[in-house]
Amino acid sequence: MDALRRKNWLALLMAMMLVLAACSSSGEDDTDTTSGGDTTTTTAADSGDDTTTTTAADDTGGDAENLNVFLYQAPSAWNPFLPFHGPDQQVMDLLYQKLIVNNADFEFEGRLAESWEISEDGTTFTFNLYDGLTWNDGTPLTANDVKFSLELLANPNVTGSAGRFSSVLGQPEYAEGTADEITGYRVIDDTTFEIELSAPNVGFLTTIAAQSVYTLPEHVLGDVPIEDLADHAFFLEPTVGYGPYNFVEYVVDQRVVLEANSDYHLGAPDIETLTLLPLDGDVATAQLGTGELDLAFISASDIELVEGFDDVVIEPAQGTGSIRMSINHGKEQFQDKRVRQAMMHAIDRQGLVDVLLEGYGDMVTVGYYTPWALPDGLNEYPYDPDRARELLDEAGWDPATTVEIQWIPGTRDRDAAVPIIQEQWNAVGITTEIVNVEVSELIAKRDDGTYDFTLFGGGDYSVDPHPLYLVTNCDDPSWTGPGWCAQDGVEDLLALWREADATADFDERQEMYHEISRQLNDLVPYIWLYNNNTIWAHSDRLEGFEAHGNFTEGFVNAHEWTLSE
Amino acid sequence: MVSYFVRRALAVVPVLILISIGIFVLVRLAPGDPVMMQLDPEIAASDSTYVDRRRAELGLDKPVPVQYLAWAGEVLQGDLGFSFVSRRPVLGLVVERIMPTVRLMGTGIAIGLIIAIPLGIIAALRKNTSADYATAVVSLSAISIPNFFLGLAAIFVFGLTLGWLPTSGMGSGGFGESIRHLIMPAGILGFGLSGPLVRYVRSGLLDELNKDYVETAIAKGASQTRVVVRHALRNSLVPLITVIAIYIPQLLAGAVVLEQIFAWPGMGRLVLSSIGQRDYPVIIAFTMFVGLLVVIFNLIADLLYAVTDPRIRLR
Repeated sequence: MDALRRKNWLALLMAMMLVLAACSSSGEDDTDTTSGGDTTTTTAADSGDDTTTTTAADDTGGDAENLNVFLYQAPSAWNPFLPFHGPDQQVMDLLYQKLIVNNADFEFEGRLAESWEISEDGTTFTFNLYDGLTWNDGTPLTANDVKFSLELLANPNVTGSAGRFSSVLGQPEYAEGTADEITGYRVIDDTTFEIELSAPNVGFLTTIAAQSVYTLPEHVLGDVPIEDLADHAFFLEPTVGYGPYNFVEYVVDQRVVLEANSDYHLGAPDIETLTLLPLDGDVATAQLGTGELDLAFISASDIELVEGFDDVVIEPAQGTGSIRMSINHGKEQFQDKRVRQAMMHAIDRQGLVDVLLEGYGDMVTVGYYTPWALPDGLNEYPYDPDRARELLDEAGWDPATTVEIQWIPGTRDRDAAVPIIQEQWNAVGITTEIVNVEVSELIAKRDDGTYDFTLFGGGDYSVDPHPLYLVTNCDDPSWTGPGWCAQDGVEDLLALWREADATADFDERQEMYHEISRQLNDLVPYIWLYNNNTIWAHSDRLEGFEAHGNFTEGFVNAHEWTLSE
Repeated sequence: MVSYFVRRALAVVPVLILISIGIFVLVRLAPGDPVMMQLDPEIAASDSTYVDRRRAELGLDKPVPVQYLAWAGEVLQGDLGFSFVSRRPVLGLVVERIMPTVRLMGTGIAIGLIIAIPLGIIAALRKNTSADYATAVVSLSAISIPNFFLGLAAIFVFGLTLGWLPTSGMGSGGFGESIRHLIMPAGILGFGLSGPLVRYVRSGLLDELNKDYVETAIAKGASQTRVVVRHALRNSLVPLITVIAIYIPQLLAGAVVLEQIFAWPGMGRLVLSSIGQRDYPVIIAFTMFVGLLVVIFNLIADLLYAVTDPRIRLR
């Protein structure tokens, strides 16, 4: 009897093993069917050979025209109405088009729009689309598609970021539901589209080039009820689109495969397929070395390793955001600009760049990087503890005051920067405590005004200086707040800023911005810290790649990429 | 036997309900709001009407007990809800990823056994010799070196330096390619599991070897191989299966980390990103799944004991 039971036992063990074995052999089919049936074999990433030029050729025999590209997270959906998600933006830049984009040289560049004009009063923008554009299913792409898409993007029932279009004439009425369409959007003819604002703002172009402002096919999505758009199945498999690449398949968490659109109006892409691979950052760096990956961005601390790889080129680009600390201007102790200037002088920002970013970064002095908006002779706030103590004395800083810096932990350089700042502020007599928080906690403390300093980063302040106004003004007290606006000179500065953005003449606008820059530099609305470079690394087979300072926009010129043998 | 099974199986239901309440409350106690999580803290006009509307859509504006009842009602109808982030059905997201995880874990367990059984036998037969100590060192390292470190080290050595193995993904080619992709993640998972298993095999075998029937077998003239393999080892493997059953949920936790490192398209990657984004429905589905595994495998372990040991059944 016992022997029998033991036999049962072994049988059970065998059965378990068999089940597991069966499961593992069927696993493959299960994942592949989820991608929608189309079995493509352009899977260079998985050939895994150890040679440095592993390509799709290993699998498909002869097709050497594939580029393996790094995605820093798995994509969720290619849906411009969902909250911003970096990897989705990268892929959407290839599948859909904006009217204009921010290029790697910090300039606007046309995509669907061949040219654009701004009226002299700075309120009306006219976009002239390229002739003969067609969706990849053959349907003509016209200004009606542009209007359709921009209207949805300005609809708060569809997306959470509709507010950025509130300056468009008629958007508020449309958002409230009292109007059926936005009067400020006008289709003149198939290739001409006009936007009118309710108040002049030349900087509005940045909104048109901003994240998610893609043109979507009205003939596919036009009949979808508004409330279904945010989770519509189309966006999981956007086979109808218009961009340099067409969607082929997404194998869950493994790869996105795209195929060149030979009818792309700016020239058919040379590289036939792009395979985008969601990977861990450290693994991506290693795969550059094994040749499994052709294009990635890397962290500064890995540069030395990557420099050792054969056939890999490193291209740093000036970042478009900044790491900075917002100041609770609502608290009296921070309302004297000399205190804020002292805080700038007390931090060795160049040291932070050199040590934390291995030199791959820039000190920030104003907050935007638009080359034409920055005059010479700005105060760089060099590291000078003595000057900081002097300024604090002049301002009558109370050494008994304790200040708190809050930040969201998890980013290597920021986590290291905070204790350094704490130590350097302590050294000049600003008693500093540091506390790490979650996003919601951070926003809650901001909204009820209980924080002192928040260290954070991000933004795009490259092509045009206008976006900084959005986080520095008084109309929407968020970061700088009412305490900021009550200070000497701030109202005048903001008035000048509005005037500059209402000025269509470039030279005049530039002159005003030079003055704005000088005042911002002096008033220190934020404790500016530094700006990380975006460091791209790619196989030297890839040519025509332009290192973009904003990694989510890194693929805007993908149609110009070529692969050498 | 049947009544024992029924009794044990029925006891699972209240346990699962308690687990679900615990998970539901814990997930909501974690700081961070799923709607706020998705907003860029830099966006000045964090549209409060959008936030309120979205919270209402997701049912987050209701008290937690109400949310729980609504969720439980849907789960009983087989609906695990929708992901807050990708807005896809949770069940679909999990099902897409279950097989890769099972493949990784199944291979990991097999590798763990392949390492642990011979090492355990050697350690038991050569008790208190250098061979025994050597296996102790190996198994202690397996227990104490974290998965993520081994994973990154293996990528560096076998992927980058030697160029022998692919470093990410599951492969899409034939059988051979799948095996190549499996070697590193499953090998590391199996190595980690082998640590405790070696100790169990060793002590189990030692227990058996000291029993009277072994002495009888030796007295009858059976060879050492026959005594060890046919008699003692077979008996000592019985508790080992229970150990594996109990270790499976822990293995799943280890697989979460390895899946992230090796870009393995399983549930681990899904749950890590979901935790980061406070995607409650996905987190809850995953933790419920692990809870279910714990309960089921404990039940299996109990039943297996009952099968082998009538005293338990009769109690």
